[in-house]
Amino acid sequence: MEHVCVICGHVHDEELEGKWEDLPEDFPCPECGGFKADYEVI
Amino acid sequence: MINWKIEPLHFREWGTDHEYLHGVKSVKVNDDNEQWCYNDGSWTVQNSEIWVEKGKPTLLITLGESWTYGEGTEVINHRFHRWDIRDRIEVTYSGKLARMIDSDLWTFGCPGNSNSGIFAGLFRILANVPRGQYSSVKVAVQMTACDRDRTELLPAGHALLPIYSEAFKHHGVPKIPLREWFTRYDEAMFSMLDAEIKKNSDLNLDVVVFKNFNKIWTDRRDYNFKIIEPSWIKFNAQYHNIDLEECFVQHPNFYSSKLRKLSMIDHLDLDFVNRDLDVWEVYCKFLKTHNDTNHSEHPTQISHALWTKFLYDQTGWRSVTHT
Repeated sequence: MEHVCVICGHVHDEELEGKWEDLPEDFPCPECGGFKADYEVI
Repeated sequence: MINWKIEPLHFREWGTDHEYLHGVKSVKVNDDNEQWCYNDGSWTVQNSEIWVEKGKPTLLITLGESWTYGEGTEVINHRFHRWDIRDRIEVTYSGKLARMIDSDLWTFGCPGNSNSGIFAGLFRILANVPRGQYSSVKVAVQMTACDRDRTELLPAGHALLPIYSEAFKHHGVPKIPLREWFTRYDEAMFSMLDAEIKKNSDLNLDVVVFKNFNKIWTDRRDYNFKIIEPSWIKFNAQYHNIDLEECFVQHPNFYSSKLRKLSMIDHLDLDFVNRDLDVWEVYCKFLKTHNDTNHSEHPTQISHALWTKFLYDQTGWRSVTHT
């Protein structure tokens, strides 16, 4: 299961950016600055 | 000369400052463009062409048909007259990419549009970009299936007319295999685009071309634009771990209604046709069975987002804040 930022299409990389469950709600998308809430599961 | 309508953008309570249109009070809209789409003319949509001026030094132009329009996303459906301007911009790759590269945006997407219509739209837009307003102009052209062109509507001298001729006299000129016709199609379109890029060199153009349904048929890569591969639908299928093969036509009757009549084609190679119809069946099955979060019969917003990132990586286009 992967998470993609619907603002810019960045796919979350758990190895580089940390485990999804551990990320805070204000975790910024590294590409566009969107929030965790802007991600969808693919 | 384009007869723009100025459309105010109303405040959205749930909008965020991550949206491309954040702070934009109005946009320009033009819907007087369908007569040049060269399709069957049964589509009527609004907000097909939108110009967002944010005072940026770069302009992004995007063109295409329903995929570029945003048809099939959760919020856009022309059959139900759902074509809100904000949605047209925010959920599609156009607005997302414009936000990523920090540019103004001029997008023209019309459901049912043909390749000849998309190119005619681009050439019309390029002629109307105000000289001196932008230091660079990026263009992303989404091409569609070749079977949508209404050749009887094309103006005299159009590059597609010779390859669609049913009365070409072959005085010593060898006929071509069916597969070669598709290569000639690409090359006719691309030569036309190449010439137009040269004609508008004062705009400092950077152009990319991609297809949504089909692969690029020509092997030529010596054009003044970049070809983006794979097709959008093949790109989507990869997220389902499917290696989808692209078919040559979107409407199988194109073989019988058009291609078999063309005088430049040696004969209707039935092995080729049958093989393509097999691929077409797999392709239809993909559209019907994977209408989930990633792709339905049209891309969802997630698919638009993934395609945005792909284009962003492939084009190398960056804003001054993304160096």
